[in-house]
Amino acid sequence: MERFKYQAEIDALINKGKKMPDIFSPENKEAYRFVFCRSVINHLPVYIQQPQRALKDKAVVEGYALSCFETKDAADKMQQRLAAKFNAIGDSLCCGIIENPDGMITAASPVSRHFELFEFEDCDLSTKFKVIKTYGNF
Amino acid sequence: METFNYIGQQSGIDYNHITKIVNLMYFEGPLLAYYVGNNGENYLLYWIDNDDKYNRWLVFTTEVESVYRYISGKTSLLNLLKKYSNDQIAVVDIDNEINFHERGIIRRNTLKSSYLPSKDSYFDILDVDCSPYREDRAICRLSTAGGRKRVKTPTYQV
Repeated sequence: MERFKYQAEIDALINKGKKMPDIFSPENKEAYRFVFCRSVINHLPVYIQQPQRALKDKAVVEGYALSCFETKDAADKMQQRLAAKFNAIGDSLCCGIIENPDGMITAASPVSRHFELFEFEDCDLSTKFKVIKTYGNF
Repeated sequence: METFNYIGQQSGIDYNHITKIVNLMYFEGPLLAYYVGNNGENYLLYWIDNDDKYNRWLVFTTEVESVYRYISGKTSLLNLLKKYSNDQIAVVDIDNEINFHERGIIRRNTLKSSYLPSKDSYFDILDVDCSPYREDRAICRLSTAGGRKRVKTPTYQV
């Protein structure tokens, strides 16, 4: 099996007893992500972003995955919910297709339609995800 | 990040000995979290801003009953922060190594409105559904039918 982009970090957590969630091949899954349209640094997992927005939570492997939504409506709903916090999360919505060589994904929540993408080493979402919408007055 | 007019320098909160109970809002990291101190104090850590070195949080002191009132849909987050917490708020910058740097104390009524949640900011399952922590998603089970906004229990196993 291919190595994940952050395999060493994930292995370190698993060696400490953390568990990988159930993951599946994406099979050309349409996905939506929040990004900053004027930034060249997008598509970084929570634990790789600097400074990471973290408190004294116990580390989880999902910290090395990327948040995605299954539908535009689900992403818009979350953006409305988090509107006051959006300078933390992104000012735009991008869309792309996650293919099997890109990585492995978790099952989507039936509530938020949110899922995680664990990228393989050669995955580069910046080349295949395009901004489709900019939110608010940024 | 914005510069505040601090009314004091130290809150007396021992950030090395506060314990996180649950995240009340989470997306790609916590946005609102409930903590307790060694002496039973109840704190809400509320994210407001960041730059390339720090994430900035406001630390509100409140009561556990007020937190429960919010989770069960009886009051909004705006009310929880403006009405059901102490007037003095600590401003804390947290660095990439999760070190807490308290910058000072401000009065609640000096917060600009853009930092505050909206009037209809009632707790919703979406606030925690993206959290990887089971305990965050499980707080939805604390909602009551008598609350202003019913919070649905997720149908998947948490």
